Amino acid sequence: MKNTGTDLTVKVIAARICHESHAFSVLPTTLTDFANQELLVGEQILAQRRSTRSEMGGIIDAADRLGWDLIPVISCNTAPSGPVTRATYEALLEPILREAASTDGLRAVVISLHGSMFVEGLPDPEGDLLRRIKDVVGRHVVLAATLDLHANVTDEMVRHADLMTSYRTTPHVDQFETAMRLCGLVDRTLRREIRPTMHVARRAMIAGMDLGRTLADGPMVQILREARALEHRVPGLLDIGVNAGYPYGDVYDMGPSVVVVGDGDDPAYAQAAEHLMNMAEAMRDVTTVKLVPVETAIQLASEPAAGAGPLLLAEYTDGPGGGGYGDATRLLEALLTARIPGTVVGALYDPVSARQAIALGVGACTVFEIGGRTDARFGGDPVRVEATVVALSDGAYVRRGPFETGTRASLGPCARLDVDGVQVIVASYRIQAEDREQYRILGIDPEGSNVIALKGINHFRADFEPIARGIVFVEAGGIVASDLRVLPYKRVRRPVWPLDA
Amino acid sequence: MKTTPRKVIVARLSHESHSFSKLVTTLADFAREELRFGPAMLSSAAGTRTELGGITDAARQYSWQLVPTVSACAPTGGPVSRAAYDALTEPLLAAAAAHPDAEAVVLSLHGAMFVEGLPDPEGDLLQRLRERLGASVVLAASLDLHANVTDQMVRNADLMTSYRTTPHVDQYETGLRLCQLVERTLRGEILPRLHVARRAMLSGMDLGRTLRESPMTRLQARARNCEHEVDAVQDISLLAGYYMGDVYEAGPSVLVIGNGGDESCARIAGELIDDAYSWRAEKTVRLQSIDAAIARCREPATRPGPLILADYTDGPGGGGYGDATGLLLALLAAHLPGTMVGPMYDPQTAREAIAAGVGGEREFRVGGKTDPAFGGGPLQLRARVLAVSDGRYVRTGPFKTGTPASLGPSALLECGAVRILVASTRMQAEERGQYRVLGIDVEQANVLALKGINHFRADLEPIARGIVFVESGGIHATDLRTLPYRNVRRPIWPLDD
Repeated sequence: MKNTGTDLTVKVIAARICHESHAFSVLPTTLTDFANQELLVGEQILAQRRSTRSEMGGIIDAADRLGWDLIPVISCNTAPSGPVTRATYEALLEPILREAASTDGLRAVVISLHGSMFVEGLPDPEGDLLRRIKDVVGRHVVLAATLDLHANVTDEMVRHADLMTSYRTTPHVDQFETAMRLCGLVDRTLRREIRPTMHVARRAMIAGMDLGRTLADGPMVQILREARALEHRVPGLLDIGVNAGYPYGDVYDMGPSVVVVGDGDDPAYAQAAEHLMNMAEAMRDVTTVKLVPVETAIQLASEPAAGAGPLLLAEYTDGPGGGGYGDATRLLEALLTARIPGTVVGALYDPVSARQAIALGVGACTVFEIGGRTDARFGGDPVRVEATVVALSDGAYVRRGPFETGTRASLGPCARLDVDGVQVIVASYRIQAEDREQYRILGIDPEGSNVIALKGINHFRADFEPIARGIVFVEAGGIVASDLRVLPYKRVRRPVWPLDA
Repeated sequence: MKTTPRKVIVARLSHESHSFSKLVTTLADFAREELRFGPAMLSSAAGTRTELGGITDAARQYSWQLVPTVSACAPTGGPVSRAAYDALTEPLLAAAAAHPDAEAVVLSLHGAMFVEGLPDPEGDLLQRLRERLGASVVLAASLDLHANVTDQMVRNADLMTSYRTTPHVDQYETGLRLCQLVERTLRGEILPRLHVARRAMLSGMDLGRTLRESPMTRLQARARNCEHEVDAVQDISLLAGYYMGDVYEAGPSVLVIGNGGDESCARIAGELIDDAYSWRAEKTVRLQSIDAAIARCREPATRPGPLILADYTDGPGGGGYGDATGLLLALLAAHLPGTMVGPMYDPQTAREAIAAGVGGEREFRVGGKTDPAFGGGPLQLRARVLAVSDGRYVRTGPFKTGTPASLGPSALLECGAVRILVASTRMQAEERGQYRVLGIDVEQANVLALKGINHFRADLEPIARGIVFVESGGIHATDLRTLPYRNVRRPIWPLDD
């Protein structure tokens, strides 16, 4: 059937509300955090996102190709941290609801979500916002969402969205393709070529799929390969989102899931989803990264170097990229005791020590209390040391590694301290290890170092792995816990693996 | 002796909210105009002639340690949504909780904000800060000259001072003056007491205009005199008020900062507001009916340049919708040669015109879409597209010279003798650059009908053969009796005459 309305333009609202929220972090996420990273409205979105390899870049490109009349409303994102405050959430969502309510002849809403946001008093904000948008636009307007591969897909999301699709890579390098794919499905839906239905499958697990890693041939790669094969094999099957989930959320439906988008109704779609989740369940404890305790890490670092370049001690459980505080001290304390020559630790989040060092100046020697201020329950108390201020910086650097090359970033006012030969970096911004420039600005040569202990989970590997003689992932008690049983879940369905194993 | 620097929390939350506008002001409106947090708000303010520019300079002079929180401003519009207000104030309230050792809070406010369900948000904010920080912290705020000063604001603030000019060109000085008072208070040199005076009037002081001799310039001269002659008087603010704000205390007020409990301050506030009351009906701008404006257009030109018809009551600078059609309808009927109308807010027509392309001719429904109850609904007309543009320009007039601005995707339409500029941004007329982007040489127009109240005069008055301010039924009404006030104290002039 053809649209016989007088207004032939296809009006589509584009929006993005994206955040991965660690439900157990004591650091609330406010408007300040979004504004300092990404908060664009209206025309600003087109000006800053057109031609970029982002979801919005993909949506804009698709809209151009498909001849949509795109109405960009709001685009926001900030680094993983604690729950988003309710006031912030409502203020970010409101412009979308108002635009949706006031746009005559609206045909679709395309929204870029993470899928693992957590709001104070609202454990499933994506489900909430999809429902509220659907309530405003009515069921004849297509509501479509892109998701991060670490989304916790809830039944509420599936109920209110017409279309959802997820990234297929970790590190995530296919944001653009994900948005293009979604817009293609939206277009076919608007043309009535397809009538999409969604089918979600889960198992009693909140971890698995190797946390979605696709760098090595692990469980995720195998499941994705099978998903692509099913898309070819099953008639009418349009798209499969394979979601590793985010174990630091606290919502009933959390954990790995498969979302199958099919054309019309066919039991084969649900079967495909179940089949893939069977695979995921069978491989749930297969991981391509193994964490070791602090003692093992120290032992490995003390052994004679078996190659060139530094040994990286990645303090996974305190990585800000996963919502960690970035100031846990247990590994630092062990390294200060071990006094291995050529050791560099940091950057640790510690604006107090940074300010203190800057006030004293280079060459000063005094007592510092380093790190451990955010939440001593996770990863240790402040460490009291006598240290000499070796170097100071405003923390600004330009990324030279493969991750966001050429863009500007900053550690904030920061200092390099010397504690009995161990170099410790304290910084004013809570930022993950990501680029060698973070060390060079304080006069440290990462290639020439023996041991670098950094707060990192994934992104640092792009720039550091090529120069390292090895990487040791360390379990040091941070909030990005590897033993999920230490976390005070309240809402997740039970029993569930690995909590009740 | 080395002393620890005083810690001073700083924030800016500025909005003039038209209580009766249905265009709710959301986070998106702030993000489009001004929304900065933490150190970014100071670095972008440094060196500018704004309140924050004045505050940062003063902080350096007094060696304060500033705790920057939030800086937010949006163009005059409808009530701020509760969600936006809560999200914007959250970082400031969090800073107040995190810095109990702060000795002062310095705020840049407008004073005529209106939030859904909260008619006095500035009073609310000051009270919440007072509750968090206690009686000993110095709570100080700069205000726009169009602030509606409420008792709740006066009760909770220690210091408030406002602009002294309209158009407002003394923001920097106001910020500086406020900080000077804060520093003197912190040093114990003064013990500030605020004295406010109002009368039963919702409007007056010639709306604060200071371009020529007016009630406001007379009052300002007297105020400066009192500051000079009376020892206890530290500062006097003359506030014209904002009568589109539906709060109990709306309207003109005088605010005197005294030192200690001196009786003279309240007396001076009373005398000044009595003067303002007796001059309340005196105005330097008179509005005319649409018919009278059209008649003026038909008079032979005695000077070169366009006759400007300022559609005052629909001016976005005062909260107008910018798409009222009453004046346009009359001009279409009048067939005056060389008539130029706009910019008029109408993104849909702009989009349709751009789709039709230059030279295209079709039916349009122009303007009147926001709220046909004020100033007329959409006009169905056949027009030809003369030009299209992305609307971007750099200001070359005296107002914000050199800064970029944009009408958004926009188009120039021709309908008989009338050319109409439709834009995607709800923007007041402010300078010739807005017309140049569509190839219009506005000096050559015969009649120029624009949506303007004040700012346009800086660039356009010098080239015009005259200005007629038009009452065309827009929401920036001059007959206040047409507005549905609910909270204002009664009886009050001119509502209950």
